[in-house]
Amino acid sequence: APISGNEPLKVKSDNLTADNEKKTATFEGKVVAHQGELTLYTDRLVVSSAGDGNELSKVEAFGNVRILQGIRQATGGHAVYDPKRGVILLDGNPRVVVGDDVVTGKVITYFINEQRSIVTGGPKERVEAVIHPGGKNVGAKP
Amino acid sequence: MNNFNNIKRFLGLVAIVASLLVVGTILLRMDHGMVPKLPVRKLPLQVDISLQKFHYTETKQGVKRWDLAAEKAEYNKKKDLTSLATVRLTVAGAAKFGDLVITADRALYHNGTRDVVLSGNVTGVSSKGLRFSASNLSYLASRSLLVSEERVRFSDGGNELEGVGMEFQTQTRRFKLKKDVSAVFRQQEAR
Repeated sequence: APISGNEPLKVKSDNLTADNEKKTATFEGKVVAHQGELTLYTDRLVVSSAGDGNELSKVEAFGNVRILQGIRQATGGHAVYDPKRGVILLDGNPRVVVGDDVVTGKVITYFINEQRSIVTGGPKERVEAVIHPGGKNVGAKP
Repeated sequence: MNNFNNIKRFLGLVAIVASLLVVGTILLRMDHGMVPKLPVRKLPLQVDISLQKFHYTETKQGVKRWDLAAEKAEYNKKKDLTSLATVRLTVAGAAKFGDLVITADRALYHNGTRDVVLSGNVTGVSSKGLRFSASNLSYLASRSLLVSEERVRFSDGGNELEGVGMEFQTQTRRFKLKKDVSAVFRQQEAR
């Protein structure tokens, strides 16, 4: 089911530091975040709000980022989630896996509500994709 | 002539009895005292001063830092502690933050350090709508810091946060929850 940016974002962690002035909440230690069917694991998560209604403006994950969504799994060292656009930017050896199919590159733009990602290479990290034709996940692109 | 003397003697006797009655009445009244006695409750042993509608303001260089009010306050000189009932602690924040009002059933005010240990339905509300609640909370006056070792629950608009153990800086409104943290961020329309 598509995840609307308006669904509640639920977070658990060891500890939290909040700054009312900057409107940020920093969760640290075995962080687990859920929104709809998407689950994100990381070492540290910074949730930023904006406006009077405290709308979520940005969610940034640092260290051992792992995203699970249905049969898709994405990993990387750092990720930035834009709830409005439903997009996650992954870097730090990013990788998206769907079944046996894998794509890697310098930066991966992961679309939550669309079964697609955009992989961008860099001087040292060329785009790589391993696709198993006729595999179990026919039609499901990483 | 004899009759006249008897009458004189009788009148004399009446005069003496009347004077005695007047003196006696006066003495009796003085003894009881006309002023009604005020019913003064006997204070418990460890209470030296008991106050109703207690109110204390702490200022620094003429600027109000915080306000402590209570329905009842009982001071113990030996321990230098004041026990408060039905308490309201208002901590002034920077202009952009406004006041933080904390209410509780009871509190202990440490006269020496000016720290306030609040307990029983402790609730805090900021002028920006941030709310928190805990069973116990201490205000460390010298550091403008609220601390608790218990579970503290926050709500701010649609968002909810909770954790065990808190440190809350009243001047910067930064706070830390130390353990077992969970949060729910709900999207709302901008007001």
